[in-house]
Amino acid sequence: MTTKRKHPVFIVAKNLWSGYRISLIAYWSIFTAIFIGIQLGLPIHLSKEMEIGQGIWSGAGISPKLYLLILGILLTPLSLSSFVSSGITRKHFVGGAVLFSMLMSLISALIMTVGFPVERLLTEWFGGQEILVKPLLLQVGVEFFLGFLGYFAIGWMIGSSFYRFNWQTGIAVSILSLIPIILIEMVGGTGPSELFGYTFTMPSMSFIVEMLLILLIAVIVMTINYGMHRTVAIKRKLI
Amino acid sequence: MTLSIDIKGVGVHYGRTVAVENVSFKLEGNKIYGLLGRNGSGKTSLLSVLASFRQPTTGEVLIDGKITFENAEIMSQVCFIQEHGHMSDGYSVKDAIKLAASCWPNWDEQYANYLLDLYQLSQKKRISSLSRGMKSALGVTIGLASRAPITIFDEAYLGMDAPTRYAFYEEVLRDYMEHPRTFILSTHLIEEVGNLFEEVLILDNGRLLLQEESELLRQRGVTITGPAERVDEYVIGLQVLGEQTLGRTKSVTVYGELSQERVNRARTDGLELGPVALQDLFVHLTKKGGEGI
Repeated sequence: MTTKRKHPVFIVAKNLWSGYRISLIAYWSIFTAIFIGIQLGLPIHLSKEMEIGQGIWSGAGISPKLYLLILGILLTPLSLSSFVSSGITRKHFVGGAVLFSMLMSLISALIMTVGFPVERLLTEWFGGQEILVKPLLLQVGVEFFLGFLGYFAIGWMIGSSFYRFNWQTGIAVSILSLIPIILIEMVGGTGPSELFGYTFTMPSMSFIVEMLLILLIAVIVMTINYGMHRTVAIKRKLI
Repeated sequence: MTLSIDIKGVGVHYGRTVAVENVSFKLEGNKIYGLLGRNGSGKTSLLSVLASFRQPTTGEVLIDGKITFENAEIMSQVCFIQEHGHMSDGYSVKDAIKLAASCWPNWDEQYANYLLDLYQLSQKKRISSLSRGMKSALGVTIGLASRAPITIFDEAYLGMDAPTRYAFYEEVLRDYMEHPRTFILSTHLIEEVGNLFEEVLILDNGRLLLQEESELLRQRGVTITGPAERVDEYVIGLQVLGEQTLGRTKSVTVYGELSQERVNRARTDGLELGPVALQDLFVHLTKKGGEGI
């Protein structure tokens, strides 16, 4: 009666997607509703005072990053036991989770990218006066995708460390995870980055080098995640 | 598909605490095995290692001659169900069944639906809202419908009420007859489920006390009842597991087969020989810590 099942990596990715898609839809619905609300409610005189070229959308990128960071934190404590107890290896779980994180980051990056032309349209319809710059959508999309992937991977690392080790180690990893976050922000951001009053400035690099560096950070964090999952004992469900 | 299980010198340590120490045994498969042991005897730790939930600290676990840990081919053939379950509380029953269906290669959907009806489990309910008995029923449904060649229930049915537990025992037996495979039932409700076991393993203090076919094990225990003095005289040289005295009548449980000569002597001495229930034998064996067995 043995049926040919899909590759376990796809089983994991598909089940994670089924479980989290509602959350993704809900998040982006609320996010866009708030955005439209601000567009509608923003008084014209304030709109005029805004710096030329700076829309609301471009400053909203941190919110999806935090959403994906939290999703990453929850991933292993919520799902690893369910999969391993269903006969899936840890290696395949990590593979499926990487696919899932790419999918979530891709969808979020697409929405963020599409948001720029939509914002321009809305600004025109609602009578805004400022002239929004036209970002290079492909570049913006890639930048968002890699940034989101990096944040997801860092969140996943924090959650995994709490699952794999004790809470003290989890807290230590949470603090250390600021390092890749700062690196991503420094590499991906334009101009100086500020943290706890300190200013960091990266030497100017070409866009491709910047993106490769962010990708490298994400890959390193994912590799650490795999290392933490490789032999982890399955615990009673935490949540 | 018959998968043999070979446990070689397995130890499970949690820091300085030793849960299982140097346990070795072989199971040929396609039988219903009972894994018995008192609380903290190491049953769950041993089964967790068998199901690749954790790595053994020492030794190795082989299924079908292959190391089990992180072996995708083997892990998809071993279904380990515990009472508390491992599905996220945020899942609905439907989600849990869907996940199990996509993961277990031998999943029987029709049988799963039959079991859901039998245990009156609503697919819409969230796991967090299920009663303890319903959670047990969900675990049992997944374990049975997985039709995994090695299916392990670790006290998975404790939360069920008595009629539901008996329905489960009947279901295990019926399904085992129709689809022979290896079942390992870990329990301390021996009286209820003891008749299902073809072979019994007893763990005590992290060590394997004995592995025996259940019929043979039952034959090894004898209760001798009669006047106290005659019973005391009769049991000299036998391995006494326990005794009870009521007035001048004494009942002694001994371990080991009685020779025909001994049986005849009991008759002439006016002593009654009786069988020992598996549970009583277990209690006696583990009370003594298995010394001398």
